[in-house]
Amino acid sequence: MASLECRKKRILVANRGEIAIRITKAIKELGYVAVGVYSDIDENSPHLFFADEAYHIGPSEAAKSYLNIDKIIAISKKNNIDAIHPGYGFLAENSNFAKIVEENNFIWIGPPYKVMYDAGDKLRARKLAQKAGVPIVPGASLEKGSNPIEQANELGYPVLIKASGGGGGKGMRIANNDKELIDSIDVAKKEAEASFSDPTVYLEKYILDPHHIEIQIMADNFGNYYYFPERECSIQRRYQKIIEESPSTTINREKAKMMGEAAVSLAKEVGYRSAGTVEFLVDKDKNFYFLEINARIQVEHPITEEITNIDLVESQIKMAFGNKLLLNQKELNKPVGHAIEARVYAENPSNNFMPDAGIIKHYKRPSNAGVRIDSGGNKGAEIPIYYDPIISKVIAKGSDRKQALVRLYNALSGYHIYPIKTNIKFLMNIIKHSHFANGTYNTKFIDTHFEELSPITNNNTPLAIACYYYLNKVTSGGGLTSSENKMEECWTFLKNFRG
Amino acid sequence: MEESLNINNKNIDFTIKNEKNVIKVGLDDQQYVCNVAMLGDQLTAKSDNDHKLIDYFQDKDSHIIWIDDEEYIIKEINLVYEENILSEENVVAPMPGVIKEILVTSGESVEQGETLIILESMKISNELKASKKCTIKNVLVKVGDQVGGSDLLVETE
Repeated sequence: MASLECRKKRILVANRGEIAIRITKAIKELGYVAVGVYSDIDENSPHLFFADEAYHIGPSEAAKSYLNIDKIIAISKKNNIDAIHPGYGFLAENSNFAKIVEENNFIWIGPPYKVMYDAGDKLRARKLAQKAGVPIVPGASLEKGSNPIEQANELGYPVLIKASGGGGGKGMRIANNDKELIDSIDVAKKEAEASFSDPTVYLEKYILDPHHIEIQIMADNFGNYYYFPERECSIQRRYQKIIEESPSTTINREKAKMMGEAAVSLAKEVGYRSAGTVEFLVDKDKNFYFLEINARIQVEHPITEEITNIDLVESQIKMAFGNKLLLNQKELNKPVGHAIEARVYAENPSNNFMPDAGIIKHYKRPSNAGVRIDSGGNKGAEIPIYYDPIISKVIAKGSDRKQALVRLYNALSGYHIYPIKTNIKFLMNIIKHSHFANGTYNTKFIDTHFEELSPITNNNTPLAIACYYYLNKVTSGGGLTSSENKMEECWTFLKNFRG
Repeated sequence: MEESLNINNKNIDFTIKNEKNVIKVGLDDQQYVCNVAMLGDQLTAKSDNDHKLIDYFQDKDSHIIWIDDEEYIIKEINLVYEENILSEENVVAPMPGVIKEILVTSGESVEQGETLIILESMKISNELKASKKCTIKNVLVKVGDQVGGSDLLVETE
């Protein structure tokens, strides 16, 4: 059995795109074997080329591949997998999948499925938060026999009707009076049923112009709990975060510590293990209220890594394999510098942010000091129509906020992707905006300033014409010949790349 | 020389002169003089004391030029014209996606605003509607087909 003892641990990454690459790199850094999976359309996707091995798991539709539990388990059994990392999205918060993974004697790199089950239901999570002494947004559960109008009036309008089963704004409605309340409850129930197979909705007092601030937590199997500096995630469009920064410009270190301690009490109450995030709303008087637990690694985890120098994904893996996590909470309370992340999406701001897809023909990524790019895109790679349209995340770090912002802006400015339409210019316009630059923004920022964030300037038109003329007419051998050669080169590359 | 180009979806008229590596562009009664050269896979542009490094890409019918934090998509005007003709008469995919439903057949006449095709892209359903009252000449796709942005889906008359 000696040979088995030295066998390298094998970890399957049940995901694709930038997060699969991020996790694959961490696995290899730890000296383990990284195993990737792919659907039909992803057979040449960048994430596979970072893995040691990769296996096909089904057709392009997510439901038949990246969400196909039976297939992922079968592939894991066949290939002697030790542990499974789900990333974010897809099966990451599916407690049933986590349960099946553990029942099949694989290590689940995430929280216990029982905790995921509790965290996945907002009403249950609210009750647990209350039990842990964590403030929650005043609300009412709309149980049978209760009178919604009475309950809403007690809370005071406006109220939010929310689905217990999920997030992302689905099944969520604002009601300003009794009539809207009655009209909206049925619509919200139907939407909740359709999206989460659970029609349960409840009421919450509507917090006006809140900040969305979240706390990263970590817990090992030995009762060590830690909280990390807060992440300010108030730049959102349709309830989707697009820019996150740490630390927040809204709360001070003392308040951050209070929120961190609250997050850890809740984590202890639910028996949390692995990495997770507790989300809070913060009102204009800096009162904070529990919003939800995200039982997974978050998209925005890199900003926390950048200001604490702790690799969250590596820590997740180590903890899952039963290692102790020994950190110094006092050190964690003192973030070093400032980090900010912008999410680059394949979407078209001038066509109502409709997602875009296709093959990337030109991909030039910036290489500025203090900038990290977690990317799933590359020249010749395809952005498929089937999945989340995120291409990459640009993360900038600075000794202070101003430096981080300038670095992020310059990085985005030098990030050129064609012909896929992206939100890069929109992100740059946010960073340039005075309310963002001076740190006085909340979750209403994008709605309030939308007009100011959209304009596209053309200050260099004469120079652009000169460049066009140069490329077409001046370059020796005729501009057109050289351009044809270039296209041919590009297609040859694509053909080779796609096998 | 009088010329025009389609730049970021607008037709722009200008004059251009090329004298010994110096390109002179006249636009809106202003003269712009600069010296463009190749540096690796990028361009350099010198104008007075302003030096710029410029990224570019040549696609089959357009040039994309990135200057400072701006992006310029430049096309010959005749190429743009052909595209417009195509999209006015027929139904074109506004973005890449999968055909979920086809609600019309060839020979059928439809009213303005009637939904013809449902295209799904990244979990979002898009109803493609008739821009005017017309007759369906030809449906070029079937349910389940994957289509690219600006692919022709339905011919009308």
